[in-house]
Amino acid sequence: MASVLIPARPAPPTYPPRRSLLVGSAFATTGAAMFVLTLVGLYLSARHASNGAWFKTPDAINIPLTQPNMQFLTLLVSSVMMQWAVYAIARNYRSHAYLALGITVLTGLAFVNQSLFLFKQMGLKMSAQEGPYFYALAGGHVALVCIGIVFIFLMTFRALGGQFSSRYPDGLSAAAIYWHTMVGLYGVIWLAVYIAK
Amino acid sequence: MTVTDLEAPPLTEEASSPEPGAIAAERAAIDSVAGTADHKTIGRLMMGCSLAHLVVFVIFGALWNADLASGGDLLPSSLSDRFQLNHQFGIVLCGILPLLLGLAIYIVPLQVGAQSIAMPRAAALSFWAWMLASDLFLIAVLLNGAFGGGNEKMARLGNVAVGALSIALLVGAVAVVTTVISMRAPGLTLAKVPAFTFSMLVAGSLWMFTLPGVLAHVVILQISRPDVSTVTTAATDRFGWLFAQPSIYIVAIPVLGIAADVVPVMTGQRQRMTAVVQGLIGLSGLLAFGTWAQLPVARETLVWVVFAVASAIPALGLLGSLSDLLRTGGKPNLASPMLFSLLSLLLLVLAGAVGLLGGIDTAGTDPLLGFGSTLVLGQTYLVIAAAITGGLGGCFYWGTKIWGSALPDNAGRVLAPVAFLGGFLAGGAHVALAVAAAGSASGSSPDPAPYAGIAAAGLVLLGLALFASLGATLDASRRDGDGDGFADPWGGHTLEWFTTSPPPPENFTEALPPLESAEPLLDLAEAKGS
Repeated sequence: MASVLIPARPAPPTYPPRRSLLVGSAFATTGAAMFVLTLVGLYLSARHASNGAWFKTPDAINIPLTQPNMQFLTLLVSSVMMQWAVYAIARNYRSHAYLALGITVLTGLAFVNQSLFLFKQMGLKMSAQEGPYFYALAGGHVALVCIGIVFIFLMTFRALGGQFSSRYPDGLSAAAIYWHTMVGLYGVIWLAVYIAK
Repeated sequence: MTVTDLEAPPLTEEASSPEPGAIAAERAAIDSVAGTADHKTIGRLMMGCSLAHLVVFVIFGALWNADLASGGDLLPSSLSDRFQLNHQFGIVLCGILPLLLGLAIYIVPLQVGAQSIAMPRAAALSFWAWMLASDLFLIAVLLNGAFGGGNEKMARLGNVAVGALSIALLVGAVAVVTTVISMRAPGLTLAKVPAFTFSMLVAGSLWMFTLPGVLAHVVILQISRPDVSTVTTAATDRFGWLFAQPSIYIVAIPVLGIAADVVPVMTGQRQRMTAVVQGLIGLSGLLAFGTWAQLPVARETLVWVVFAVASAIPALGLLGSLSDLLRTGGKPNLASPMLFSLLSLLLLVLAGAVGLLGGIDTAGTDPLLGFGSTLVLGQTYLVIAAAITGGLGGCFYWGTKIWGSALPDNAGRVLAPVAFLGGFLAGGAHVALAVAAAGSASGSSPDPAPYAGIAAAGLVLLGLALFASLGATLDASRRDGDGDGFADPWGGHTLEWFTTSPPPPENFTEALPPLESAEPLLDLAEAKGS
């Protein structure tokens, strides 16, 4: 039998992958981080200028430590889950990725709930000297976490629609960059506001 | 007569049967502007609107200075206070940054050989959010609000508008910077990107470090439910750092890139020191990082003095490297972009010299000479004028590319010195006042009226240059399509000149030339010549 030679097809042109979502998210995350870090700086500066008068008013408003510690723990768990999602999608373990994303969103919502509970428990009034600084910082971070939850939610839907895979995991990686940064920023707030108060 | 007796007027022929084609065309025209994600349309809109806003806020500045010169007789005091405190916000956030951002949204994707901008809908969002916030800020200023206003709600509206402006500009900067990083054509490394693109990478990154700081102050101020006096003092206490060095230099970084792109083309030579130019642009970014200097105490430190003293180095270095091209080449083409570029660099050098004075004054335990805040205002005007002059240079250089018809070069040759003179007078007058005040005996401060009068005249000249440029861009956009399609009036070296003017929707219809250097079109011409 005569062998038939099949001409090799020319290789398709290779273009570098478009990483716009990943790069854009990284830059936007930088802006969000600068926003929170500026608020931390302003908070510390104003607290220093008050000569230790903050949180020592006659009403004796105190910041309980249990809630912030639990919040930090919750966010750390969510960070691990987020990374699990990235790991799973990079290996096409789609069910694992969906599970991890779901837990990340849930822990994020739990953090928001804990934050609101803490604000209510503290009872710090906006008219107090430290009120605007505290709520701008803690509330601003909670708002950014809410944006992160929406971001992860959207990426989850896109993953469910089959847009992300081991060949193109950028959406989940982008969400992870943002989320890990939010967790790191909460670490700064936890230390500067709740521990070293 | 009862109501039922009323009869509707008879419908005219036109009203009863409108031409469906005309309506469809009108809707398509509205859609093409309001619903577009094309970076070219967004960039054009942003540039045109920012030029209009610039004219308004520069005139506000001129009116405040004129009022100061007249001893407060020209304007009611509340209006004068509002113009004094708000014109810098307007010039920077509603004028210069969006002008440069609009230029970048249009030009950067072309310079990197991309078919569109990264995240085009984000770029569109940036424009519309900026437009809304700009107009809200203007309304707040005019309705007795914003900083220095007497109406509490309008004062808070002005504050919110500043926050919205920061977010809008940030979103646009993210789109531009992401384009530079992730949309470059194969073979176009960062070391080979044109200078303007590189400067926007640096400037956009700096804006991302600086504008969130402004937003943080806006948030704290807003949630404290401020009264009018708190908002008024916030203009200097909370936001004053944005208009002082080092932060004010964030508006000037793209000017270096524009000059570094224009001068080699006008001298017909290859930029031989690309790495040096990129290094100087990077250094300008480093020296413009001023988020750390928000509190007044930070502006009395040795680090601040170092930043102040070194601020002239990038512009001076770039002038040096460009003068090498001027010296070794033939007769340079002294077209309007060349004049705008060189004069903007000169203004930046002057601003750096003023920064040096400020640094010397600050070094030591007490102010050495006591120049005060007037020196800062003078320097701010110089940097602002440099950014405006450089931005207009970009408009004239890429005018054919953007509007399809060249902006009149002869007019540009007149407007460039006018803008330079305006900036020089506006900034120089306040610097002279600061020096005169420092030199006078204690208790006998000089009369500010003549200095303020000169500054007002300078700002009027700057406003005239802007107004004429706005008119030229409107005229050019009206003549859209008059060009011969491939119009390149300068013999450009970089990729944006490889396509038609204005470019088609997908930017490039032909395969890009080999990207072996920062000047692929020059490579192509040399290869054809040999």
